[in-house]
Amino acid sequence: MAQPPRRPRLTLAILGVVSVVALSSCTGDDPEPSVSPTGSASSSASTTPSTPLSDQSALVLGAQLPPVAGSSTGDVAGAPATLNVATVVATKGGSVLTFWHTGTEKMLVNAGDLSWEAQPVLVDVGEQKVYEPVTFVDEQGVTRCLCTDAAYIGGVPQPRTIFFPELPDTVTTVEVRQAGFDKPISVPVTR
Amino acid sequence: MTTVRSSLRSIGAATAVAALLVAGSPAASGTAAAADEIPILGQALTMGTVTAGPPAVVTVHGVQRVDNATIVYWSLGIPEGSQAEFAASYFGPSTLLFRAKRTGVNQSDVTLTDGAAGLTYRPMEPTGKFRTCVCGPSTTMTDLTPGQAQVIWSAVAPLPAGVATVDVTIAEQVIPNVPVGDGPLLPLAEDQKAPFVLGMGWPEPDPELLATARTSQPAAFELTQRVSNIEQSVTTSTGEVSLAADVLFAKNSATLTAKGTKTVADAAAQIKATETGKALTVTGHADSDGSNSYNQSLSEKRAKAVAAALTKALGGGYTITAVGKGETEPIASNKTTAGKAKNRRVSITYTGGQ
Repeated sequence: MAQPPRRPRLTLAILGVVSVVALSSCTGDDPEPSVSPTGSASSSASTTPSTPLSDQSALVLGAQLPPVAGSSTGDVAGAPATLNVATVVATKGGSVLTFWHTGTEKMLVNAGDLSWEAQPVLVDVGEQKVYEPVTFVDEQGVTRCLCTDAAYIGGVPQPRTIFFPELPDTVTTVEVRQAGFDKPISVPVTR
Repeated sequence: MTTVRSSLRSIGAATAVAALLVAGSPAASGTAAAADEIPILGQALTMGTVTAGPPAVVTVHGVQRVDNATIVYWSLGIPEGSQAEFAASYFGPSTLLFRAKRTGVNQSDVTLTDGAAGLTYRPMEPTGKFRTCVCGPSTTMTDLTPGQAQVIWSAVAPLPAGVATVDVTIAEQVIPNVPVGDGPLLPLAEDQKAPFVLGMGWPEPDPELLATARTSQPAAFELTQRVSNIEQSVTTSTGEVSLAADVLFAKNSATLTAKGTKTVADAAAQIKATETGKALTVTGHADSDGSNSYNQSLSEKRAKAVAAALTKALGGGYTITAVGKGETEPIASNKTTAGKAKNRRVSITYTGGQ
C-alpha cells in the first residue's frame, strides 16, 4: 500500500470508507484547524493557489481498510467463513455498514443486491428492533438493496457496504447479525 | 499540506477543502489549484472481481449542482502492486450489468441517496445512440495504471435545493455523508482529453452530452426502509405494517394461530399509535411455491382472516379492504428459503400516520 511521505494525519484520515466520519467524533483532542474552513462546499473558490498542478494520486492511494471491530465464524453460501464487521456509520436518514467475509475457500458469494434477505442486519438490542437493508424496486420491477453485490471470500478481504434505515440518535451500539453466523457482533455507531 | 491535514479531522473541515476548489467564482476559473487542495469527501475500497493484491480506491471529490443535473466528481485509484489487468475489474460483476443500458455501464453506476427523503437519485440517461452513460470517457477505466488515480465525472439527476448531504454509491459501495456543492469543480485540466490524473485539474463535464441528456424516469427510486421486531414477525416501513405469514398461519392454512391473533393485535396497536388514516388495505402475498391459482386463493383467504382480526382489534372506525396478490408481488428472491419466507406475508397499508 502506497503511503504518502510526511503525511501522518492524512494517512489516518483516509482509512477507508468511514475514516473521515470516524475522525469527526474525535473532538477536543486536537487543536482546531488553522485553515479557513467555510463549512460549506458550495461557495468560494481558491484565489491564491500555493503550488502548481501536479499528480496528487498519492493523496488517495494510501487509503486502507478500517480495522475490524468484531468478527464471527460461521458459513455463508455454504462455505465456512468469518464475518468481519468494521463500522456502522450514521448518515442523515440512514446508516452504512462496512463488512467483509474471509475464508479459506476461494468462492464467489452471489448473495448481493438481489438478496437483501440474506444480508446482515443491524439489531438495536435495547429496543429489540431489527434494521434490514434498504431496498428499492428498479425500473424492471426487481427489488434490490443498496448493497455491494457479489464478493469473493478467500484471498484478500473484499469490503462490502450496505445502506440501512436511520438509527435513532439514542442508539450508540448495534449488533450485526447474519444468518449462518451464531455470534452477534457488537459495533459502536459512528456519528 | 496544512489545508488537507487540518481539514481531515472532520467532515465539516473536509468540506472546507472542497470549498477551495468549487466553482462559482470567476476568479477560480483557469487558476492553478494548490496541490494540497484536493477535496476528499469520502472514500471506499473495492476489489470487484479481483482476488489478490491491494484494493482499488474510490474517492469522492465533489457532488456539485449544475444546470439540470448533479455532477459527481470521483476518482479511481489503483495502488502499486495491483493484480488486475483492467481497472474496470474492480467494479465487480454487477456494476457493469446493474441497470445496464440505462446508466453508466462503462463507468459504473453512480447514485445519490437522500435517506431522509427516502430516495436514491439515478444517473442521467444519454440520448445519443453510441453513448452508454452521461459521464466522462471510458478510457479512464482502461488506461489507469497502478500508482495512479484518475478523475471521472458522472451526471446524476438534479437534487432538490434543500438536500445538503447525500450518501454516494459508486462501484457498489456506499460512501456516507458527502456534502453537496454548487457549480463545476475548477480549475479545469488544460488538456480535456482523458486521462485526468488527480491533481492535474478537473475534467469539464461535456456540455453537449449534458444538454442532450435526459433524467431517468423516475429520477429517483423510492426506498423501502424496514424495521422489525426482534422476531421479525412484524415489520414496519413507510405506510405499511407487514406480518410474517409463517407466524400468522400454519402451512397452507388460512386460519390464524393463537400467536397470529396476538401478532395482529400488536399490529393494530401499532397502527393506532401511528395515527394513520382510517382506510386500511390488507393484502395477502404468497411465495412462488405451488400454482398461481392456489397461491392467489390462499392469499385472498389469509387477507380476509387478518382483516377480520384487525377489525376486531381496532375496535371500529376503520374501513378495511382485503385483497390477495398471490405470488405476483414478491419483495425478495423466491430462489432462497429466506427470500420465500419474506414473500409469505400479509401487509397492512395505510395513508398518513407518523
